[in-house]
Amino acid sequence: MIELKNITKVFDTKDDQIHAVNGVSLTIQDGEIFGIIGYSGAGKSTLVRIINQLERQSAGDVIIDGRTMQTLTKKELNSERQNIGMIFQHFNLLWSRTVRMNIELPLEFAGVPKAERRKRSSELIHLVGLDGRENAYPSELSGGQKQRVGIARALANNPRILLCDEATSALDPDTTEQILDLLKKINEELGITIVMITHQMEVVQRVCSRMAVMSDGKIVEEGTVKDLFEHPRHEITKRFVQNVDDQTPIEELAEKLKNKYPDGQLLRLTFTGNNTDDALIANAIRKVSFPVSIIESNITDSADGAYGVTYLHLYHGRDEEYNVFVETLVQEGVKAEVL
Amino acid sequence: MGTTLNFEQLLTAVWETVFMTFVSLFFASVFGLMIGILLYCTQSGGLFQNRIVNRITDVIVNVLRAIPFLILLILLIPLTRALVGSMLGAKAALPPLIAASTPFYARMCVIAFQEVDKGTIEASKAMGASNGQIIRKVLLPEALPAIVSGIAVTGISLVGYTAMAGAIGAGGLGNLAYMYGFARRNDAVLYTSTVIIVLIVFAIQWAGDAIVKKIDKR
Repeated sequence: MIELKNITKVFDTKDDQIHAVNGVSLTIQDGEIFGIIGYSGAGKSTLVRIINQLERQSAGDVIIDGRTMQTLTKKELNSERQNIGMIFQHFNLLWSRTVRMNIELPLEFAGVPKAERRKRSSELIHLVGLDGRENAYPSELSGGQKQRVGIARALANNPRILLCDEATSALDPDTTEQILDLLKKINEELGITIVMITHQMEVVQRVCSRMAVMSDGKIVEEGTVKDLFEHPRHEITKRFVQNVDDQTPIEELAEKLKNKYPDGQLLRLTFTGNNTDDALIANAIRKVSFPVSIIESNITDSADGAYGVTYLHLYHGRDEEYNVFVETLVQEGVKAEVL
Repeated sequence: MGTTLNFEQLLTAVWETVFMTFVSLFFASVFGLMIGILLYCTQSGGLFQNRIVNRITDVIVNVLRAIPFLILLILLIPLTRALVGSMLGAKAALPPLIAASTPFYARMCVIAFQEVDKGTIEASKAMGASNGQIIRKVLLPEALPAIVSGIAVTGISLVGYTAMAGAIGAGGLGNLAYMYGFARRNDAVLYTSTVIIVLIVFAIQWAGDAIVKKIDKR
């Protein structure tokens, strides 16, 4: 368990003091994937570095599994850090070492004998799917492969916690998905607690169970991803959620569609993840006789099922029939609004 | 105007130049690297941040680098006498040569270290590495191409220094070119010495480039 208690970090500049982190308290449970989302400059990178004490907080406590991090001696801290892996936006691999040697670096730091290092690095190369590339140098790898090396390296000493600092921000969307799937697999198979720092809502949505939204050094909202997605309260959270929901603001889109389809009825369905994989819309259509067309849809798969919004156009029917259709969906737990 | 060339004399001079260059290059590389590590690690935000040590080392390096080599040769005569017992000959040139090239190379090492991606050092800290481990396993290997090319650059400037030292009695090709080529107006000696010095410089540059190309995997 990671406990952050009233963490504050002040940077002194020439004629000013900057509160990069301002009174943050958080508890991250064992085995969960916790997302911390915020725009750049929100203090999230500083906060994650305080967890493994790459940055020392100005005030507050960092307690990991009952050990207060800032009271550890240098030696104790170094051995504690071997229990906390970290991956980075720019991978931070050593160009002078091959894939295998990069993965073995933390084992060398930990004083693991050579034969054991070799065995462990082979396991990790297989785990992250880099078989056959063990003797390549980082300069010969793609971004996604480099991050796989980064992940393998971070896992070398069997950590309990993995910190991800914008780990997918330098990757294209396809590679991002692959890396996120890998992190999820690691979380499920090895039970490692993962803390993810990101500015991408899709990332949080895809893998995280709980999340916190950070702005100006403070946590403005915290909860399950599902809750925050369904009921964003803070302005910043709304902006993040909306970005995934749709590129254009919801009201604007509804107005546009109403003009385009003046007859019949327009329906907005919001999926918030708790639905089953059943073909909900198809089942509802089977109960009615009028035609239904999907005119706009933005559904993303996530850790708890489908998220997003779908717009339906119902026509050539009577109002009673429309109501039957809407109720069928509502009973399945879909939020339906008639526009 | 003489044109004769004494081969034995030439050979001795070549040997003296090579001896002075490489012995001082060896010591300058070792001391320079150590001072470079010291300067880099004690700077603000460094592994062993220490303002006082950093300032003192920095001033010493800057002062030594500011003194023109010819003047350094003269200033160090007492030290040379104490260490070598004489102020003439190739061996006597070593203390001033090392004193001049060490700070030069130390600076090049600092530049080499500064080019190392800070992210790799941060990642190593996050892995629980000690400062010593970071220096040995990350900083030095990642800076190695620049460290090696720095040795080549220092070696080349040392060849130039030996020629100056030669002019005031250290022997070597510089001495030969000055005493015989210039003072006695022997063009054959002057040009031959020059060509050999140029060839030595080319050889050092070529060797440096070849090694850097082999070790640089970026």
